[in-house]
Parts: sequence; C-alpha cells; structure tokens
Amino acid sequence: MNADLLTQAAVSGALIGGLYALMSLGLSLSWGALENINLAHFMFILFGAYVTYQLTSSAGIDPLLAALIVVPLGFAAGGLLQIFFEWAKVDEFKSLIISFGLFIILQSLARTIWSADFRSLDQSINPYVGSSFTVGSVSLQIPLVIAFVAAALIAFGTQAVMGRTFFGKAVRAVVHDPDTAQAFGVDHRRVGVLLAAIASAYSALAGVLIATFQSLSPTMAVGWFGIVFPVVILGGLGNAVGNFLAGIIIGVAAGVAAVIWGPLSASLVTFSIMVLALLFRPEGLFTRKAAI
Amino acid sequence: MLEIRDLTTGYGRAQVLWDVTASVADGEIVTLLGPNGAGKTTLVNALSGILRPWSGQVLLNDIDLTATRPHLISQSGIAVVPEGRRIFPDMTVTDNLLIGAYNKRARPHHEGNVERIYEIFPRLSERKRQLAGSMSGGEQQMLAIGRALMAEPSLLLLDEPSLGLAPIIVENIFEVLKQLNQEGLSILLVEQNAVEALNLAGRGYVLEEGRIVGEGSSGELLADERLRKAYLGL
Ligand SMILES: Nc1ncnc2c1ncn2[C@@H]1O[C@H](COP(=O)(O)OP(=O)(O)OP(=O)(O)O)[C@@H](O)[C@H]1O
Ligand SMILES: [Mg+2]
Repeated sequence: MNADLLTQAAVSGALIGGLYALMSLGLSLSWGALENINLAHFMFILFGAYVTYQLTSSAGIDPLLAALIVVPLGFAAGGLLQIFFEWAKVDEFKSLIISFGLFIILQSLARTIWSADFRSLDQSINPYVGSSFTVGSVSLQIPLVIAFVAAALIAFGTQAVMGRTFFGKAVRAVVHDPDTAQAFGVDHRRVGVLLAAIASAYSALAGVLIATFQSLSPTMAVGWFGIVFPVVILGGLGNAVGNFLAGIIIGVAAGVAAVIWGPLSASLVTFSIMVLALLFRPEGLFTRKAAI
Repeated sequence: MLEIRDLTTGYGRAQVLWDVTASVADGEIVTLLGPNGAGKTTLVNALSGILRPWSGQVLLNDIDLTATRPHLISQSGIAVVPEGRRIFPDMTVTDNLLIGAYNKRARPHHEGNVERIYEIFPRLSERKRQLAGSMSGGEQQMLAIGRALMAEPSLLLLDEPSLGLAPIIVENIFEVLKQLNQEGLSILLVEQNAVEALNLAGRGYVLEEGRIVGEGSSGELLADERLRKAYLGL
C-alpha cells in the first residue's frame, strides 16, 4: 500500500467529513433537541442541491450565491414542518414514520422534476467543480475546502449560540422539561419552530455545497443514510461540535477503508463504527452528561 | 395580590380540583395543607401555567392569569419551585438560574440577580459551573428556589420544598423564605410538614379531595382538633 495514497485518502476523507458533518447537523439538532427523527432533512439536502443546480443552470447564478435563495427556503420549509409536527403532537416515533413518508414523496417529486438522470453543473457555469490545489503531494479539492470551512464555522457558531445565548439555554431546558421551561417564560413552540428552521437551513446549505461538485440523482439521498446516521450517533445528538468531529472521523474512516478494501467497504466501516458507538457510547463520543 | 376564584381543573377528563377559592394578600405567607393526592400540586401547576384551568379565575394583582398564555405567566410575577424541584440536570448551576430570568421583565437584570442568589445561597456559588444534576438534594432545592427568584416574582409558589431533605437544610431554607418575605415577597407554601409550615405562615388552607375544607390563621389551624389528628400527628 502506497503511503501517499493513504495520506491523500485521509486528507480528502477529513475534508469531505466536514461536508458529512454539515449534512448531519440538521438531523442531529432535530433529533437531539426536538426529539424528531426527521428524515425530511435528507430531502432538504437533496432539494437544496437540485434548486441550486436549477438556479445556476437556468439563471446563471453562481452556485454559492444560490445559497442566498436556497438557505432561506430551507429555513421556511423546516419551520413550517415543525409547526405541523407541533400541531399534530408528533412524538419521536411518529416523526420517523411521517418523515419517512415525506422522504419517499419528495424523492419521487425530485424524480418527476429533474428525471432519474444524473444532473451536474459543468465548469462553464460552475467555477468550483474540478478545481484544486496541492500541498506537498496531497491535492485538495476547492469545493471540499469550502464545505469544510463552512461546516467548521457553523459547528462552532452553533455551539456558541447553544452555550451562551438565552435562546440556546432555552433549547436545552425545553429538551429536558418543556413544562418547567414554560413556567419560566419559554415559549417552547416558538423555540422549537425556530430551531427546526435553523436545522433545515443547515441541511439546505449542505445541498448547495454538494451541487458545487457532485452529480445529482434523486436516489443519492438513500446513500447518505450510511454517512449521516453514523455521524449523528457518534457525535452525540444535538452536539454541534461533536457532530463536526464525528464527521471528520467518519470521513477519514470511509476514505481510508475505500482505499484499502475498495469502495464497497466504506459503508460497512461507517455502520460498524455506528454500532460500536451505540453499544459503548450511546450518548456519543463528545457529550458531557450529568452523573445521574 | 393572588385571588383564586372557583377554580376547577384536572387531567384529561379526570377532574381534580372542585371550585377552589383562596387568596394570598400582599406580603403574606400562606400555607396549603392536605393529604397525599388532595390536589395541592395540581393547584400549584394551574397557577404557574403548567396546567390550564378549566373554569374559574386566577387574578394576580387584578390581571386574569386564566386568559394569559402560559409562557407569559412568569412575566406577570408568579414563580414556582416545583414539586421534586425539576431543575435542569444537564445544565450548569448558572445556566439553571439564567433560565429563571428568561421572561422579558426579569431578563435585563439577570447579572445582578445571579450575584444576589449566590449571596443568598453561598453553597451554590461554589458550584457555579457544576452540572445541576450532580448536586445533593438540598443544593438542588436551593437552586430551584434561586431559579424562581431570578424571575423577580411578587408571588413565590413552593411545592413541598422540604421533602426528603435533612432537618438542618430545611431550617436553612425556611430561614431564607422568612427573610425574603420580610423583604416583601408573598409566598404560597405547600407542605407535608404542617407544624413547620404553620409556624412560618400567617394563614393556611386545608385541601382534601380537591376541595378547600378548612381555612384559618395558623393559630386556629394549630388548635383545630381534627387537623391535629389528621396532619399534625398530635
Ligand atoms: N399527570 C397526572 N395525570 C393524571 N392524574 C394526575 C396527574 N397528576 C396527579 N394526578 C391525580 O390528581 C390527583 C391530585 O394529585 P396531586 O399531585 O395534585 O396531589 P398532591 O396533593 O400534590 O399530593 P402529594 O402530597 O402526594 O404531592 C391525584 O388523584 C392524582 O392521582
Ligand atoms: Mg404534590
């Protein structure tokens, strides 16, 4: 085994791990803080990517600038869905079933709109795809570097908001005991809707970043399960920085495994990590818990 | 200050409170006694917005709380120390206090108020950054009281604050309540510990099976034969 190849795989894996983290953060927040296992996040990512593709290919907008439209759409969609979840008094299990239905419906909607063919933004309209630079013998893809930086900023920014602001403290209080939080003035519905909207905006942004360098197809969302669930579990539900570090771990593990054992081994490895995490650290690698 | 008129409420279809009428005047400590399952916690929850009243009125300084959205009740001046404390175990002591100051009226003063709570309960100030769930029961009760005070209430509701605590801690907590009351805070205190509660309070009510069955000054209640048998173990 060539050492350069392994180094390249590890570095690329770490970079794409940033994107994995961003793809997972919405679900992690939704699951950890709202107790919704909201599979619609996969569709927020998918539609984020397709709408970016559409804006760039038909209106000629730079794909990253498309985020200015796509991210607010994700924000609104996630907020509306949460209003429905609140109204329907959806619990964790029902959220899984209902959002699985949404996943199927929206996936076929994407197929109806954009067909099952691969869609991608070629270099004439997309300055990011295929661009890279090298450090030593390692090549870094620019769209992955952008995604990594965005993911890092969002992870640490989210952590700071959760830890330091009244909104963040209210979220944590609501997670534990919504009634008591309410007795102290927290409108738990409003907090939930705002948090869900932010989470969905993150997923939509992940979609934008995917569109800058990957070919899109409606079924690609199914493939994301093997990445997103391991990252969410390993990072600890609702833990933004933990989720970011878990993204990197999963990215490196999948990248290195693909080089050593071939591409098919990647999801075997990531799922194995998830199962080990569930068995030995169900609260995730990075979450601090009370002793009781 | 607080006027409860013909309040009824319950859970689902099960009615628990029947036409409860009671009041707390400005600067008063009033205690609410009653056997297990009488509905004391239900009444406290209905006052603090955890449970919606079915009918009747709750007036706080002439504002009708039954028409107030639950999360706005703390803003109008009621704060609760719930049964079982219900602190947020995975959050630090300071963050628990800050949740107490969440309402719009109290929030601008949160910095000064945190310092004040740490003066009232020095044991909490030694544990500012500790997770609340890792503290002793007594410390958690102090935290629950501190959190409620952060809301800058004019009326403090306490639901069995002495439950499960060592006598010395209970004494300390009752001392704090007395002090706060002398500074003008009105208090409604639910207690199993009837003698202690009546010694602290000026007046009391007795709740049985969701109905007020007795009321009077502490002296009258302490002298009541039936009460002495039922609650005071005398
Ligand atoms: N969440 C609930 N759902 C349904 N019924 C409840 C609920 N909480 C209390 N009850 C019922 O309401 C009645 C009054 O209960 P409550 O807790 O108010 O009594 P309490 O006077 O506070 O008793 P204790 O001294 O044991 O704390 C009881 O019959 C109880 O079973
Ligand atoms: Mg009770």
